[in-house]
Amino acid sequence: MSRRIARLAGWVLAAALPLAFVGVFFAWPVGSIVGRGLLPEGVLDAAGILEVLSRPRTQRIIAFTIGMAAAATAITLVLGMPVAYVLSRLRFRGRGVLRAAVLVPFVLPTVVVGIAFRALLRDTPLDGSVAAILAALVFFNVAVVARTVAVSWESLDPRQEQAARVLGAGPVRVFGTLTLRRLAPSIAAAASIVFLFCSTAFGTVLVLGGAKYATIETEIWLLTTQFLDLRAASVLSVAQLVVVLLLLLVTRLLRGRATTQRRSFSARAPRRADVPVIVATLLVAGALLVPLGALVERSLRVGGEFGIGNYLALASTGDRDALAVTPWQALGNSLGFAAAATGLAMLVGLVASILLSRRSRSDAGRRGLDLLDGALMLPLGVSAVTVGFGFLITLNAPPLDLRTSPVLVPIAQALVAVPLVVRTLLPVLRSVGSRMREAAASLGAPPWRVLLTIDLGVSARAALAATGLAFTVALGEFGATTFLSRPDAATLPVVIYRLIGLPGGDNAGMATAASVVLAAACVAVVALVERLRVDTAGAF
Amino acid sequence: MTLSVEQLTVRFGAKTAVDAVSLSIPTGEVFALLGPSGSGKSSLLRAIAGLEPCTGEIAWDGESVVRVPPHRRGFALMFQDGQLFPHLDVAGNVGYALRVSTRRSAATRPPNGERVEELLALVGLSGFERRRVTDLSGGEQQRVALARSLAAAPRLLLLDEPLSSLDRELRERLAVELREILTTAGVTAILVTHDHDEAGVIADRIGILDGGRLRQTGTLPELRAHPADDRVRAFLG
Repeated sequence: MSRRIARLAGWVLAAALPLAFVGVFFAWPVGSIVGRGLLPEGVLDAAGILEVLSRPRTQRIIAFTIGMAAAATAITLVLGMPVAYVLSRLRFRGRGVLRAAVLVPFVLPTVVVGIAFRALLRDTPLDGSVAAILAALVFFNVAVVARTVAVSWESLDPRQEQAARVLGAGPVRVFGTLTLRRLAPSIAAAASIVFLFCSTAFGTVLVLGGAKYATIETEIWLLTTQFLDLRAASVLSVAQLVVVLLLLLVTRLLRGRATTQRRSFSARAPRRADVPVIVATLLVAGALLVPLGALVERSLRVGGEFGIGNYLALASTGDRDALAVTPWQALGNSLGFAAAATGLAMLVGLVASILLSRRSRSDAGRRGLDLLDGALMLPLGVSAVTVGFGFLITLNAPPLDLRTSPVLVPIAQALVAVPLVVRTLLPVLRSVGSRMREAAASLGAPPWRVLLTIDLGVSARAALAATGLAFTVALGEFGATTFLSRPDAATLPVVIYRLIGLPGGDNAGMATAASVVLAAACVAVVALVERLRVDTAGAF
Repeated sequence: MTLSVEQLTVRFGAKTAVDAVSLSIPTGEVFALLGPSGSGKSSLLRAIAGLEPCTGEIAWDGESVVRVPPHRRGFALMFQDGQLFPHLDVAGNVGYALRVSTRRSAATRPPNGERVEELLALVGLSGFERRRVTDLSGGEQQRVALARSLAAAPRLLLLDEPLSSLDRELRERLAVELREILTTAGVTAILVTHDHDEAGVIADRIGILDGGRLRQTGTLPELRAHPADDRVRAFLG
């Protein structure tokens, strides 16, 4: 009996780490923001909430956010499907390159995506339009649809389609009546994730929409930093939280159904009938490259002429000393913070994933694991701006006075990265069945050695991939970091945003050059991850 | 030097999978637990390995092991589907017990590489050290699993339907080989199977398990000549 109690104590201790992390650095800050807004004197301020919700601006912003996210999701689905087909069903030279190329926009920092579209649309009527925001959101999310759906498409037995063809159905009919229906769970899962990303996008919308087009997320930022209207910001945070919780619930249900079978059928060589799909895929992939090309081109232009002046300026503090640090120093800060955030995210994510991969024999244990699972996914959808602002107002007094400490930046970044780490590691850890662990135990391995040699052994490559993903996410994090990084220890995304907000052509040029540098750092990390050939689709 | 099991009972909720089974196996004997699917034979084996909570008594040499965790019992379990570790190569799998075991001191055992080579030779897979286990055929995987279990130098080897995932021809050939390997290694073993021919080839003695109860024990000719009841007679065909 004492052995079982010791085991239980071990699991409870292990669960305490991720729960404490999420509790102190997520639930507390977000909860106190919400509390301050909704319960100003300890009681629910219903009149105040209604007042905020009845403001025309609030209603316009909520409608705009949902409408734009829905439109972006629809367009992303249409553009992502042919890519998913080509990546999952066809075998050809350069498939790996295509796979990686499609992923690139997704790993770019949101600020960089915004700057790239501004560089592309400069001096056109589209600059600063809704279409520009839509295009940027689609650009960012095509990878989510392409890769999530491709994984599920790979596992469909093509013989069912062949059977339908033999029974007299044409290719279009087969696709409509059979393939699409079998793919539906993964399409719906991808759609809900894309909707989530679009409706909570911050950096991209802030850079492209400016003051003209606000979403819930940018409005929360505006209300807290510019107008100090905490009540309105809280109401919007809660509204966003409700939407996100509903979405996560739907995704969970769909994900449960989508991953019942995990087989992979071999791809075949392309045929003539595949030409339209291949052309569509190449057009999409080509279109993804255009904003990046424009960004690079713009970064090499100084006052109408080609030159590397913008890159040389990265060693300076900008026109009229706009910055407290040079962009190169900011890159150094970013790399340092991202490394710390990655270490923290891996520690919390690994412990949480190992816990979540176990099946409890008791109902209470199972419910506890479900709760932990949900708690860890929440930071993915809750406004990073709210988290950042919550840090400032809660972690500034004893017992935890961290406001003047630089550790807040990596902690906030780790919070955003943990869900991705868990989603990457969990499928691999779950593939280690309890029977494999029993086999190791019966060969004489004590429990801690089973954990080290079997669980961690099997998931070593996935852990490496998760490390890379966490690092890029931390490197590009903007929403929370913008609140937390001090001017003398600013990160590169914060510096880039500051540069475009300042007058002077040289500052804007510097911003594009700095964006290219930041993008290159992220792409380099992801290229390494791709080499590991770990299935990272689950991370989305 | 015997395994003795007294009144062993395994319950899953309201269902009793193993019902007060008592048996005794002397050192060096290969004992087969024979029964139809659902008869509780795998649950009994897992309980002996320490992987299933149970009531009753399990003792080795008169010393109770009920409170000993699986990794200290010295009872190696070989699974029906091998449960090879996919991230390790053949040598990594076979040498696993040699690296992780806390049972023996490093001084008393031969170097790992040599022992792995010996065991692979014993199961007919010489030269397979660096192969990936996922590239092996089903028969080869089960041989690796057997070598891996033997590497633990268990005082009792538990074999849970080791051949049933293989096709018939290979199963018959491997059954003969398995008997030879177990005799050569001089190991005490319990084999779980639903195939009485297989049990007859591999085991010295057979116990018929049905509905969680041990109906009869004896050699295959004895059981065939004097079945205890109609169910045993029907099962042995």
